[in-house]
Order: sequence, then structure tokens, then C-alpha cells
Amino acid sequence: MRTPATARTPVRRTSAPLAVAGLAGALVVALAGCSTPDAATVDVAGQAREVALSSPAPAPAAAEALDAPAPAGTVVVLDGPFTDRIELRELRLEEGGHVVAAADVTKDVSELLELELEVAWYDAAGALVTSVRHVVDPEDAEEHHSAAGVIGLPVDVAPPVPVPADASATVAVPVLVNE
Amino acid sequence: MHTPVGFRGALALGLGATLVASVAAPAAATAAPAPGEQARNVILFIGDGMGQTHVDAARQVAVGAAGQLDMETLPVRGAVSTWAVLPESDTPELVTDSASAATAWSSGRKTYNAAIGVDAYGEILPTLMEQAKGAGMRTGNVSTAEVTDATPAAQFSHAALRGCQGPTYSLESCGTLGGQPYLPIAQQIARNDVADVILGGGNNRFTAEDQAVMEGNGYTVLGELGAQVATGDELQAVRDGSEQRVIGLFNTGNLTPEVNKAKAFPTPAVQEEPSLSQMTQAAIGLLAKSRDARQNGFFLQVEGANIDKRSHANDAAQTIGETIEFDNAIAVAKRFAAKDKNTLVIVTADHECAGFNIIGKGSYTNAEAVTPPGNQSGTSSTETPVRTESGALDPERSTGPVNGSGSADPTNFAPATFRTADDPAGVEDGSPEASLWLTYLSGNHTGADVPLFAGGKGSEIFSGNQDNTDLYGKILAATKALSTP
Ligand SMILES: [Zn+2]
Repeated sequence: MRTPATARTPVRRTSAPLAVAGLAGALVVALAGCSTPDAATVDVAGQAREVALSSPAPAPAAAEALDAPAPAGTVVVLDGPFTDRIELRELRLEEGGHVVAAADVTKDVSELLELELEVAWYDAAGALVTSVRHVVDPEDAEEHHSAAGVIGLPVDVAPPVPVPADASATVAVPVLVNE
Repeated sequence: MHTPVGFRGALALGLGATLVASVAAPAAATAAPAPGEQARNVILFIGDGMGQTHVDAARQVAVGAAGQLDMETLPVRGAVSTWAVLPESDTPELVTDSASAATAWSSGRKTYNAAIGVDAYGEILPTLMEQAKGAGMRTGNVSTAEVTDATPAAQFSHAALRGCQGPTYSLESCGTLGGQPYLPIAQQIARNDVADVILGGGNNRFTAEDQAVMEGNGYTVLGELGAQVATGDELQAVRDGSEQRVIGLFNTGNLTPEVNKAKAFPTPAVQEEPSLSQMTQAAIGLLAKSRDARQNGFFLQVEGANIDKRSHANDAAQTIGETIEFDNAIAVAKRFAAKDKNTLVIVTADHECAGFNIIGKGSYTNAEAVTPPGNQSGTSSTETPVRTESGALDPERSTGPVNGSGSADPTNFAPATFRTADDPAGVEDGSPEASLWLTYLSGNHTGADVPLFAGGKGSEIFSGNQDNTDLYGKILAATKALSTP
């Protein structure tokens, strides 16, 4: 298990539009002639290349504040696109603010290819203290394979800066890919 | 092992910095059908992880030793080599993954494991599906996996790493192209208009914003992207023969294997998922009768993805179930092609998965023996005893089939036994009496060549041995709208 040495700069959770939103409109115009014999001149490969190289939206980062302050020591898994594929058992906040759990990936799991957790710590008033992107090395999942999937993959994420003793935490799963 | 060791490091150092604006030239076709013998439509079936034994086992279970699966009734037979290359090199990597293999036939280039629609140096390659769309053909991409998974993705997206499936870009899971971050696969698919019909899994790779963009580009979206999976009923309700584009994603992740669906095991939502054959039928209906297809034909890729996924899990029952359903989908295409008389049907695989094999009834594998045969490499084995110690079955290592009668013993690992269509009534799966004894070598891909079956217009050029990169040029040459005079 490895954790990036530096925390990401928290970014406000906004729905930043993808840089290519406007390009899609241009494509409609370009492709409108597809059903005519002239369609053969449409450079679909070139357009697909242009789309691929567009800038991605910034990754959703930890919220600057919780909707309501959370009791000290609580850890909450935030709803997201992959929360139906992973369960964080025995999720808890340990000494030094470590967020600890046993991860079960029980859906779609022939091989775990990518797993990233966004862990954020909040103070007693519900304000963000710090956050970190925890990237799981898929090699570490190998020994936890079973008939049911990847079971009991240990998770232990330390806060990049000290957090108060009465802190709470949230965990999001922005990246999960299985083969 | 799916990503070469050190590869992420290579990406961090700027793999792909050689990316240039020009589009790479397609590989030359190695053969071309006679004029007038080219197909208007192409349906390419990929049995992910499907080696010859997967076909053999499915045949024994479904129709028996003297029978034939639908794919086997196609008149042209071939074999396909599948090796990949190491990043930033042409050094062979003998065992491929789905990403490298799919890029090989979609673009004609060898590339590294994990690469989607880019060459070994990270340069974006034009794909068959993009070229088909550019030539005015209707296009479809169907899979039982997430449509962002490697096999479908390599026809309609480009990524340095197959893990960059969306909705979130991260440097670790995506790497860079030309040294820059790029759009995740799902978000590319939602914006590049390459496929007119997209059916499969992976609804949660997409977002509400993707849905708005796709609807703006004329797609009918079944369900709600990122929020509500589509259902088989919604797919049935889509009218054939219109010019509309359709995306239907029927699971948040991969579709449910057929064996599980038959057990009514999970939820009503699972029962609402269409099968691969139903999706194939729907895709052909949506593609074939459109104006574009009548004029220029259609190109459809159909993937049976769970053959591979269940092989990784050494789950023979589901592997066979998925292979049989894959064959059902091929039967749908064959019926269409027989009527249409202008359609090329190709069936192959990206690689073998798990060293699947059939052993003699009552026999056992090396791994179950007290002492496996010694390695005789480099010696004249006629004078050296093959086994220097007992080669008997070790009762501590294997007490019975892994399924059925032996399934309660977690130490068992081989064989899995299945009744065949030839077995007498009363013989059950998982019993020692069942005729088909199946074993796995590993839980990963192997480097074996894979089978190819083809039929219809232009199919003759797929006969015999070929490399996976050859398929690209051959499909171009065999397709009326894609071949250059
Ligand atoms: Zn695989």
C-alpha cells in the first residue's frame, strides 16, 4: 500500500463543465451530413482524436465543509459512482487520525486494476482540515482474491497534516476499475 | 498482471511526448477479396479470453462431441496470434491483455498492454469504427462488459491506460497522452459520436452532463446516464430502422453472467438486463435498416466479455454459460447474414484466458500429483525417467471435483466436471461420472493463439494463420465502404 507523499490541494466541489462541452456542438454540425454520399469526407478519426485530447474536468475534491458537523471519530463513505461495488468494513478513525478499513470489492472483480480513495478530515465544526488521494497498488490486492472477489484488502490512510483529536472523516471512491 | 512493471513510471516520464498531429497510416492489407466480393456490412464478434478449449467445452455441454456450435458452422477457419509489445518499443510481450489486443485489430498496430487506441509510443491511432463512421457507415458497439472496458473502448476511444474509464480523470489511473491529461474513456464516448448504437454495461462511468451532451448530439439515452440503468424492456421499445442513435447501459458495471441470471440470484434489476443475443438482435435492427446502412453498410462489434472475466475466476460453469450465450449472439448474426447476403461475420478472441483445458475423465493435473513430472528440457527424455518419484494423485491436494460433489472441500482446485450432451440422463455436473473434465492453469491470460471463424461476403481472406494486427487490414479490404480501389 502506498500513499502519495503530498496531499492534493483541496478544490471546491463544483460541477466544472468539461472543456469540450462546446466541441460536441461542433461535431453535430460536422456529422450532420453523414447520410449523404459526401459523408466519406468526414474526418471522424480526427474528431475523435480531438475529443480524446480535450482537457478533463478537475477531479471532484473534498468539500470545504460538511453539511452538518459530524461527531468526533465518525467516518462516512460518500455516495458515488462505485459505492455499489465496494464495501469498507470496520471503517474507523484511529489514533493519529488514520482512517482504517478492510475493503471488499465484490462486484465485477476478476482483477482489481485501479482503486483510489479520496479521504478528507474535518474539525468539530465541520470545516475541512486536510484531504489526501489514497492510491491502492493493484499488486497489493492479489493476495486478497477469493471466490467472492477481493476481500479484506487493508486500508490505512494517514492524514498528511496533524488533525484534531475530535476530527471526523469522509471517504469517497472516485476511481475503481476491475477487469 | 495487466500492466507491465515500471510502466506507470514510463508514463510519468512522458510517454507519448512523441505524439504528433498527423494520423498514423493504416497497415497494408495482406489480401483482398475479388471485386464485387466485398461485404457491405461487417459484424465482428470477440469472445474475450476465448481459447479453443472454451469453444470445445461449450460444444460438449451444448451439443455434444459430434455437434457444432453456431460459430463452428461458419465456413472459414483460422488462427490468430496475439502477442503485445513492451511500452516504447517493438519488443514482444508474449501475453497480451484485452487493451493491446483490441488496439491491434482496431488499428493494425502492436501496442503495449493497457493501451487503448494508441501505439507503443502513445500516438493516437485511427480505429476501424472511426473509419467506418467516416465512410458513412452506421456503427455499433455492444458488450457484456462496461462499454468503457478495453475491448469496446479500443474502437471508439484513445487512452494511455485502460483504467482511465471515467468519470474521473486521475494521473495514476490515466497517465498522459503527449504529456497532457486527456478525457476519460466514457467522456470521450459521450462526445465523439463514433458509435451510433452503444449497448452494454458501465452506466456509472457516465454522468448527467454526458447525457445532456449525447442528447444534444441526437442520441436516445435509455435510462439515465450515471443515475438509472436502462432495462431490456426499454431496449425492446426502441423502434428499428430509424436513423436514431441509441445508448443503453443496463448495469452500473459489467452485465450479469447468464448462469447467475438463470438462478434469479440477485435483483429484479438483473432480470431486466438483456442478454448478449438480445442486444445483438437490437443492434442489428437499429443499424441495418437505417438510410446510412442501406447506402454504405454498417460495422458492428459485439463482445462476449464475461467469458474472460469468469475465466480469471476459474469459474468453469459461468465460463461455459457465457460462451454458449456468445454463440447464441453469433446465431442471431448468422441468420441476418444469411438473409442479407451482403454481410461478413467474423468471430475471434483477443487472447486465451487461464490455460483452460480438457483432461481425461478420471485423470489429474501435475498440480494435483505427489510429484509432477520433472522438467526434461534440453535432455533426451528417452533415456531419463520422466518421473523420479511417485506421480500419483495426492489425496491431500485433491479429493474431488471443484464443483458439485467436491465443492465443500476448499482445498480442491481441479477438475471441474460437467455433463455433456452425450452423457446418459442422470449424470450431473460436478460428479465424477460427468464426461467433461476441465482444468485451469492460472487465473490470468496465456499466450496461445486463438481460433477464428468467419463466413459471408469477403470471409475467405481470414482463412489460416494470421496476426491480430492483420485483422485490421483484412477488414478494411473486405468492406466495400472501407476498401480503397
Ligand atoms: Zn482478462
